[in-house]
Amino acid sequence: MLADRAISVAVLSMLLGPISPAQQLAEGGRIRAPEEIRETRPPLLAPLEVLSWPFHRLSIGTERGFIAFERHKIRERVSLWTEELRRHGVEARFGGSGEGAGFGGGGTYTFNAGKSNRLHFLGLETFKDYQEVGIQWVSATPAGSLIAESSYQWRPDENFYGLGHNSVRDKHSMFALRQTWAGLRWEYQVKGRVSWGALYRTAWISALPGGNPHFSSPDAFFSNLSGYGTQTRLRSAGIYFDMNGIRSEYQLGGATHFGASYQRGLGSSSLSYFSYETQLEGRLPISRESSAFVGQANFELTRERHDSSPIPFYMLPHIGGSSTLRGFALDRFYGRNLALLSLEYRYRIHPFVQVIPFFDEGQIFDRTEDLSWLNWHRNYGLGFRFRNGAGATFLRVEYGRSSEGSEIHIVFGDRERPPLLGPFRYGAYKR
Amino acid sequence: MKRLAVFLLACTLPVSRADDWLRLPPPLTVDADDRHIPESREQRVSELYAIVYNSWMRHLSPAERVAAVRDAGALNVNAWDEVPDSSWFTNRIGPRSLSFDEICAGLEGEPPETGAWAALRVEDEGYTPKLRVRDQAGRTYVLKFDPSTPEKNSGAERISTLVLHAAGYNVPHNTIVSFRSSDLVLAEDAYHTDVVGKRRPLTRGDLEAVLKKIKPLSDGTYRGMASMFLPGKGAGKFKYTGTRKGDPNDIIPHERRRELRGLRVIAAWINHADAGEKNTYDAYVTAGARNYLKHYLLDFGSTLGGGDYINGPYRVGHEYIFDGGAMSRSLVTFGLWHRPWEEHGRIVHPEIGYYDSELFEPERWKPNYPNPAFNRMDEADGYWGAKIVTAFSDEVIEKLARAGEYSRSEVTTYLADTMKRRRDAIGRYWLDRVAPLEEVVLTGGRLSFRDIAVERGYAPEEVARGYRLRVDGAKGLLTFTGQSVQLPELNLKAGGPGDRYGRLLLARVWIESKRRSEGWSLPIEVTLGQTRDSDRLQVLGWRHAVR
Repeated sequence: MLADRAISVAVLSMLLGPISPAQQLAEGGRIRAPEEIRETRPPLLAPLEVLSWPFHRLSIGTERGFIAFERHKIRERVSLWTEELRRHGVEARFGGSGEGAGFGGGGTYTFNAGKSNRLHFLGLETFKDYQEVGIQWVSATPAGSLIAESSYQWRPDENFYGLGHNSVRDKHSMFALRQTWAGLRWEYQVKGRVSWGALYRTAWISALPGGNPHFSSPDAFFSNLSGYGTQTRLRSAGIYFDMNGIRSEYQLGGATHFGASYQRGLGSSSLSYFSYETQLEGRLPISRESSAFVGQANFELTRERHDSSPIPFYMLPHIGGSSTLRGFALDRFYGRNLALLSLEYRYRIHPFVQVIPFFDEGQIFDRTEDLSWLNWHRNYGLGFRFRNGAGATFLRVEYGRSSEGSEIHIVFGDRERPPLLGPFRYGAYKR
Repeated sequence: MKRLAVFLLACTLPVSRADDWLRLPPPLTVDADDRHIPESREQRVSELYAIVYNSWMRHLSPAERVAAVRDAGALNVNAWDEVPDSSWFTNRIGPRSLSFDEICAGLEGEPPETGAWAALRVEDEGYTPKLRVRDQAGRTYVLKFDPSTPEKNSGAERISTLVLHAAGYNVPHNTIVSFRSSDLVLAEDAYHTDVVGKRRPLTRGDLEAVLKKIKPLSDGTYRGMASMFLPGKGAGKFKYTGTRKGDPNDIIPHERRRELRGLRVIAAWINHADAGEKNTYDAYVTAGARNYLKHYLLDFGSTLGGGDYINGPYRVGHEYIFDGGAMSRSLVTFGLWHRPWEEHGRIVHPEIGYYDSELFEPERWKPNYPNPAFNRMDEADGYWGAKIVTAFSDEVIEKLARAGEYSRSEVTTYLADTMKRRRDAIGRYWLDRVAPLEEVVLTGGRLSFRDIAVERGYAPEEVARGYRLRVDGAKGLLTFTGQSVQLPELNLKAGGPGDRYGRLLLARVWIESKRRSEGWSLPIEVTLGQTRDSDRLQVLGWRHAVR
């Protein structure tokens, strides 16, 4: 460096320098004195720095935390452990168990992962005490997959506002649901785009007083509510057909889902009804790989047989919340039939962030004649979806406005829609 | 609203006395920041924190916003608006040109001797393993390899090492090497470090496992980048803001150092988007009886087109990883605004990656995440950086491209052409925006200067280059052509005792140059006065881009 310095000193001094190189080196000085540097600070910076002191401490603490995180190679360790666990068929899961279930976590274990015969266990628990345990045995053959599965869910804080399209928000009650089922499913997939299947399940479902002391149980508002306080045992058999022509998020495509099931009570129950579900989705790209309109239509119908006892209220179709009507509270409306329309404009502002202005409308109706275009519950709003590097949504934040005010939905994780809803509840799922 | 309030508050603050000091910086070409200091603790930094803080948290600090709004320019500039030599920077190319041989000869260190290399350590960092070796002369090197495309990162690292060294920065000696598997022998105390830092004795199998990840050349040799260990003792990283605790030599806040602010322009040229704190290094070095901290830049493997870091290669240089401006633009345009690089970005040669000149806009270039010193860059710093970039001649650039040792000649040609075009884009922008005048001399009442835009071909020579002169205290502007002008009568200020360098400031003049399009550039301010040695009126110094 000294040789280089000598060159520069000589060059500059030769050209311009009013001070000789020898003199400069003799000065041995700094380009600025500390007091000059202090004087460059804006005079009122000191009071601002005092005001910023908490922020300053916070940022120092954050920095130390990050340094420790990197120094102890936490990310690398977690990645190693995750990889090691995955090799043994174990995967950790963080996030909720659907909207309203709160934040939580759990894990899955797959015996014989990746093989045609495999056994899969699931366990989830949230801070709001929602629990889900599942076991699934899959035997995949070229002719289709045979799946034996069983599930247990404890959902302690489910909303209920009464039956029908005009139920009142003030009558907000909560109940707990214990839902257990076991069954067999057969599914056949054609080139990954078309699948159809049939299933048979036996279920035990109970509606009990809710765990939240701030809300009344449904029987406080609604007497003789069908299915409340008792356990319903039933058999459910159904078929479904799915076509998925959606290749990527912002490409032209569509998807359809049709399902039908028949439920019949066991023991002394005379419950006997059909349920039908239809979902249609279309995507219209607006801007290449960055925005698209997404339209969805959803219909769920129930038809009781003439000799059936009333369908328990928690088995009825319901709307409200982040998967359906986003300007309304979760599960705001229950009824025999529902129609739901939704139009979203999805666009990307960052590979990890998607913005979604949306408009939803939905109706609960007893008879098809009651379906009226003037009588829909409507809402609009804006949502944000945050994705990780692998493209999976880990957080949804949605703000909806409706005639009943505003709702903010925060949903951790995104669960896949089950192949056939039938009489069961799963909380919110992927839109 | 909050931002506006902070801005208004900042604007109401009185101008600090420091502005007067800035009027006439010292006539020093060396900043003596190499005085003896005791050894200080290693300074660690976190890249995650740097991303989080600089992308979001800094906006929450009113003090930081006011300091940024009131930034009065770089502090470590001398009377001639240059950066003096220091433990950070040494003037090399810029005021004068350098030949390629001079650039290479000045690099501190040597390439490893051929023959057997003792393998000391394997660091398994997942993406690209590193190997530490010692040559027969006893020098230690870190061997790095091309993780994705052969030649890509090693070529980029070699070229950018030479560029940054020539520009004046302290860099390690990085050389492209080729070796055979048999050249590597296990040292006695060799060990392997896994991803989480666990050590175990190194085996031949570990070495083979590293080499298995690299594609050998057709003759069976392996290509790698040998980075010589830096002298002195490692003292951690330096930050692009504030000063370092425990280093009394470090008195100038780093965000006020011109060589760090102006580095943005040089980084833009070579697309060094990874110019963050994690790629810096402080060494506690010894010079005679003194020990002090010397500051290095490291790790240039992701320069040119070598970077592929979150959101794909085309973002690099155009947008921050989390770019509030671009995200807001997408938000308000409902996703209809397309980033130009998303549509038109293309990789011509995989050995280079995404490094192009068509979408390159020097003033809009961005690193991967905001760098506090780059954020403070003003026009004077930009001009300073451009002066360095444009001092690289076509011939030197062609030799630099060849230094990447690409096996296909069209790759070398493409790289050289792109580097020239990006250099010219920088020259056209900065040497037009700021009056690019240097070496101002007053002889017999006539002020003459060099116009480096004309010299370097960024101002049309065929048309007489227009300038205009304004004199302190006088009304009106004197328009002239050619690179000298007879000064009108000056209102000389009353004499005084002079400053600590014996200089007596008597008058100031401002010269602007005609821009290629409409209007005039930001002026150069020339200070005239006397020195203690002579009562002749002479040029004491100048500043560029004075507003």
